[in-house]
Amino acid sequence: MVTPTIRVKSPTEAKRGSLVEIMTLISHPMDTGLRKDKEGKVIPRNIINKFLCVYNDELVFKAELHEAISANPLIQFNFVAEQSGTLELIWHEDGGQVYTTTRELRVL
Amino acid sequence: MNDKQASYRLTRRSALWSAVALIFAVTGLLRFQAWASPEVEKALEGLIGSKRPEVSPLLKLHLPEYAFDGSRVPFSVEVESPMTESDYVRQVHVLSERNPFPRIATFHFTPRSGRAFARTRIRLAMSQNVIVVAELSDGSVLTNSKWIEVTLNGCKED
Repeated sequence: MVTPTIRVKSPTEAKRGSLVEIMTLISHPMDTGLRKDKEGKVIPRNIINKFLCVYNDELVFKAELHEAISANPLIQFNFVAEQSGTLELIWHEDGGQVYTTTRELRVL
Repeated sequence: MNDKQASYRLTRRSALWSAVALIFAVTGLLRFQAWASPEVEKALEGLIGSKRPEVSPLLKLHLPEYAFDGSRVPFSVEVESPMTESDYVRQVHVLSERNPFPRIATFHFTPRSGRAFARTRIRLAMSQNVIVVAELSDGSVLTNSKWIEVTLNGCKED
């Protein structure tokens, strides 16, 4: 299994109390379990089923994803920056694999 | 009972029934307009139980009117809310009326979210209503939907 490529667009600095916008992309086929390969065999379901954003050990955003999310899922959301810290982005795949990445955010 | 009387009674009865039907139609439009398919109803029951969502313009779906390729439809949802400790949006469920699986996604928010907004890209099998259901911190449930025309099935693409 190829390790997915993760792309994150997030600011490095933010004013205290301001709204921060995070945009994430992860390369993933998001196989629904409905499609068939060239030999006619069903490609088993394999999707990113959960996405979490943890900021300074506090959960700020969670998304449960289903089959109807496009391949290479894009997720954009906001949260309020209160203090500097580490942003941890976590993707859960079917079968238990977890992909994570972190970003630093400095609050002025 | 003569013929004239019978026809009069029939008219009055049908008039009453049409009035009743009209009331049901109007309330039905307001209450059940958002989910027309039994799959959606079943999925919703698993999510919010027996609560009946109220159609609300506070929920905004950003979805194109028309999508040629159903495999990558830009979608975003926003719920107008102050997002304070006492009044915020807990969850937003996104459902599809005619996809093979009715659930698309569920977004969880906290007062720290600041804004009940999420953007993603979704797959749609055909022209249909996309439904959003928001659960608020006070226990109320709101819903809204938007019709989208889809040309190519996004669920079986190669």
